[in-house]
Amino acid sequence: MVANPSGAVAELQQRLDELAAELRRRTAERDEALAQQRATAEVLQVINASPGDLKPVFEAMLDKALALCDAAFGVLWRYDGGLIRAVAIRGATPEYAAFLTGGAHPVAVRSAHGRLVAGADVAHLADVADSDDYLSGNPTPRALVELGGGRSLLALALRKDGKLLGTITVYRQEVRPFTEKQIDLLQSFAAQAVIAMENARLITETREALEQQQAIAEVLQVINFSPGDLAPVFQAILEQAHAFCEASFGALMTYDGQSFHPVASQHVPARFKEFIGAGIRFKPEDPFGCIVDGAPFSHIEDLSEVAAQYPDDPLPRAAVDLGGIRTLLVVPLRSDNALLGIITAYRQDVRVFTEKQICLLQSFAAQAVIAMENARLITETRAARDAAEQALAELKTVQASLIQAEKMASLGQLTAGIAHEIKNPLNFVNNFAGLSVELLDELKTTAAPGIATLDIKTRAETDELVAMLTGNLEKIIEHGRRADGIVKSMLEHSRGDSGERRAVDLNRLVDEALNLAYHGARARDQNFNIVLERDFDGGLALIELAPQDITRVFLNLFSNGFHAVVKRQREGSSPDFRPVLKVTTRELGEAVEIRVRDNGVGIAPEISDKLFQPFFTTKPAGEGTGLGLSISYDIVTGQHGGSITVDSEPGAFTEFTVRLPRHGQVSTTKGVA
Amino acid sequence: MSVSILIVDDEPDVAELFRQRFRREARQGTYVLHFADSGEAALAKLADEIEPQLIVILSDINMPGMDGLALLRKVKQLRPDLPVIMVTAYGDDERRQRAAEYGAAEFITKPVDFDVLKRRLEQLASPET
Repeated sequence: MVANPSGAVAELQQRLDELAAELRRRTAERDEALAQQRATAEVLQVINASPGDLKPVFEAMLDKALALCDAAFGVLWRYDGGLIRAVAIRGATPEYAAFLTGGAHPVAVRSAHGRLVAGADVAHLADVADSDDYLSGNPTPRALVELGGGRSLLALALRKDGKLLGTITVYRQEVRPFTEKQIDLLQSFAAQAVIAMENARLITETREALEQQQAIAEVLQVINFSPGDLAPVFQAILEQAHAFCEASFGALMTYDGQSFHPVASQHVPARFKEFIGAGIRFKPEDPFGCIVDGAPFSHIEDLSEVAAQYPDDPLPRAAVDLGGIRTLLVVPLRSDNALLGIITAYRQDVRVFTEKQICLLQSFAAQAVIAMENARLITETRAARDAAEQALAELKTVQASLIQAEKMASLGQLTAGIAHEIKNPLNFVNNFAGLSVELLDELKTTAAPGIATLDIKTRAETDELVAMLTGNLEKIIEHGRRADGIVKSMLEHSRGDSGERRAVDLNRLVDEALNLAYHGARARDQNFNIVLERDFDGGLALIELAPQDITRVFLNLFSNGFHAVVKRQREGSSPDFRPVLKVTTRELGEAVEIRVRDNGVGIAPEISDKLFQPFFTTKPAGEGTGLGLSISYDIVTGQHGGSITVDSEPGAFTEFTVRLPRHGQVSTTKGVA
Repeated sequence: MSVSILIVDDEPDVAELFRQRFRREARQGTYVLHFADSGEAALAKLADEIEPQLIVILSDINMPGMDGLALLRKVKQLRPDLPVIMVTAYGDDERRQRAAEYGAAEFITKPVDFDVLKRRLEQLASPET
């Protein structure tokens, strides 16, 4: 059955050995894969535990990588702008670690990292000490070999979208190249490192964006809370800007076309603050001058150099000496190309602002501009509102005056109507009274023969009765005439449509107006009393004028005078105050002068020039139209070519002087419609 | 030789006043007074031929119905030669102008000055002088 049993056993034994070897290999592979998985899981855990902070992630990653790749030490490098910098170091000698943390290093083209920069994904050196880079005497490989004892090196590129972010590099302190498997392993760590870096970048960006948004939101809140008030807004902007730009201090200044004035400042040293408080000017030749010319910003790395360069310019000198300023950033506040001001950020050490910080300060400047525009709009809106309110108030006053004037006009018409209605029956009274006197005379004549036959006593009684009747009728006639005179005055006054000129006795006109005004005042207020003094020039010749209009002028002047003395009485004059209105007329040959003087409250000097303006009144609403003096002024000056002036002492007297020329300008356009 | 005067006024006491004022002339037979209390009544009287000869109409202006100015126009159409004197309490320019325009002989404002009126009537009664 079995041809060669020993051969078969050997064959079986060989097969068994093969299977055992296969099992061992597979077990090792499984263990390796498990270890790798565990390592990856641990790394991922670390990544999750420290979002954004890459150092612990890289360190955990390096620890695993060193173990799995059987390497002595490892470094995670960051590549940025041609320089390479160690961000995580594990297992290196203290000397080499100290060398690495000393700063960034340039990347030599022929070095392992140089190959990665050039585009390779893997750089594997069996012996650094045998590389061109080392042999050419570069300090970086020298330090690696001499301080770190590094010999075999494996460097993998960390790339994102083709951009080199850094490298993960593991080193052996003996010459023993890495296996393909180890290279694969490290590649998986490299992939994780890229993910971690990307995560961290996203987290940082998100956080920064969030912080900026928060800062902007805070500023906007301040803008909302202080409409039109810029100081707190500027202060908030400055605080946020400086926190984000890592500035030690700075100021926000407004520009008036020539110089800058601080409106908000943050931690500015007192002496420098005092210096800029007086306003600063930028000279075209100095490094800030470009701001005025339209530059987006001015960034000075070391102001002390500028101060030395421009010894005659006091600003850089003061900034360095008084403010201790070294690095400086100035960003303009511009709206539609107009320079509104600047926002400055100063550092007391020489440390340039990053591009991001410059952008940030610019965006804060933009907010300051928005706030300034808002404030301007609010101020303009407020001004417009105030103006509108004032116009409305004025309109209301004018309207009230017009309503009053309208009332007065309708009252005038009413007066005219009443006067007419009274005039007719009054005519009958006067006529029949006159007739009755005649009839009584006739009766006496007709009845004379009969009366003669009466006894003496009866005749005497009859004669007495007839005489009394006649006397009564004459009294009726007399008072009837008086009433007729009043009615005529009322009609003349209410009728504003005449303007007809004729030669008049001015004394009589003034006297009539005075009586009319006095009785008018008495009719309104029974307690009203005043001493009327007439000092009329007996030699006053007739003067040609529009009697109705001139009467109106005097009625107005008299009633103003009455008002003034009543006011003085009401405002607590001494008990022996005796109100007097004195009217004087004087013949001046070519003109006639009439003075109306009262001892009332007087006119304050500041309003005496407004006195003749339409609608100007000192009387409470409803008592005066503010038109009286303006109409009087028109009548005297415009219509009669005369003049009306006022002299007054508050609390003592007011005297109006009216001059009417004999050959005054005959104006067809009347002041009164 | 007496003549007639027609007085037109809606106020009844006007008639009484004229009668008393003209009592001597009426007694002497110089004037015969006729009264109408409206423009319409005046036209009716005019149509009936007033005796003796009518030399003048004295008319108020403000009257209900046909007013004095309307009456004036009508009279001037019917009897262009008959003088009409307007008598009114409202002596304003507009009425004065219109009265003159319509051909009024005179415009008198109330209260009437009877002495002046009588002299005027004497002129009208003897036009040849």
